Amino acid sequence: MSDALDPYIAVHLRERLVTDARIGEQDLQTEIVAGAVVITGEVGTEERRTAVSEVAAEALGDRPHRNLVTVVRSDGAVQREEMS
Amino acid sequence: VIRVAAVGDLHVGRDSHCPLGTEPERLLDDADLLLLAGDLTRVGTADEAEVLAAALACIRGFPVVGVLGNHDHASDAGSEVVSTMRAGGVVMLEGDTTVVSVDGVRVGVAGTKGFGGGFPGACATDFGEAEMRLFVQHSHALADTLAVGLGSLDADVRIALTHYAPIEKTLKGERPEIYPLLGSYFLAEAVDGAGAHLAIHGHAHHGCERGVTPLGTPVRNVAQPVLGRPYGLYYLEPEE
Repeated sequence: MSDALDPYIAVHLRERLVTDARIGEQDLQTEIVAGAVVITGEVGTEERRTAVSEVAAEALGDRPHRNLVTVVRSDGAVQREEMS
Repeated sequence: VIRVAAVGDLHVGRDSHCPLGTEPERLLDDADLLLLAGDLTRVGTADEAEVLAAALACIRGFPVVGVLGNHDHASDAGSEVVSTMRAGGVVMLEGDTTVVSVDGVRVGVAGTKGFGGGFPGACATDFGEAEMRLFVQHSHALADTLAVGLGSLDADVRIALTHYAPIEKTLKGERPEIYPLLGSYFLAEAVDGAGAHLAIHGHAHHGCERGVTPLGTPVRNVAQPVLGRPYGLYYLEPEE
């Protein structure tokens, strides 16, 4: 069965990514684009982003995937807001 | 002026670096208190909470108030996360309240994780299968503790601190299909019923920062992915 005919492969991968002990992040999305599973979203650390690729490789075997996950940024300048 | 710093969804793990930014000591100059709006940890273990407590050690003595989020329950060890944070000097609220004195001004905070259920026109009801009724009853029960807490506060400024969202506006950017998993209007009712001055929440990483309850209380979504900065900083003018 080709990936195009197997829509569950992406949702099953997402379930595995979210629940894997190396990742544990919910803000991950997966979809099949041009025969490859594309993973997007944000995680808290670079280590978790790397783990996304590891888990995807374990889960998908030879099927192609692209890890487009980014790491949350929190280095913006602190801004104050007057509430009243 | 009361200076409130707030952030949520830090998702701290053993692999986290500088969860409060590279200069957490700056809080001492920026703010009078720090609110942590849940999802303190990645999967809710005591060792992850220890990492956050260690990051807060440099501001020990500075008032820090927190609530748990859904991630903090992921290992069924929420009580261990709470006790670890308390040992680190954080006041953890689970349906109760605290009052911080800032230059003689009493700043009251009522806190709960809150829960989902949705918003008027698209919300779950206490009806049907036992599982659905339990879901809604849990959300109701937590919102009720917020209402009671806010109502009981003897304070000049009253703040509601939750993880789940009280309104839809600060969810804008999320897929509408999952709004019922992100918050409940029960929380907004509690905030409006008590006439709180500010409501702080997290949980909605793709939402937006600013909103307001139906009766006019400002709401701020301080999920760190939304802020993109170490914390939000809100200046409140106490009533005369």
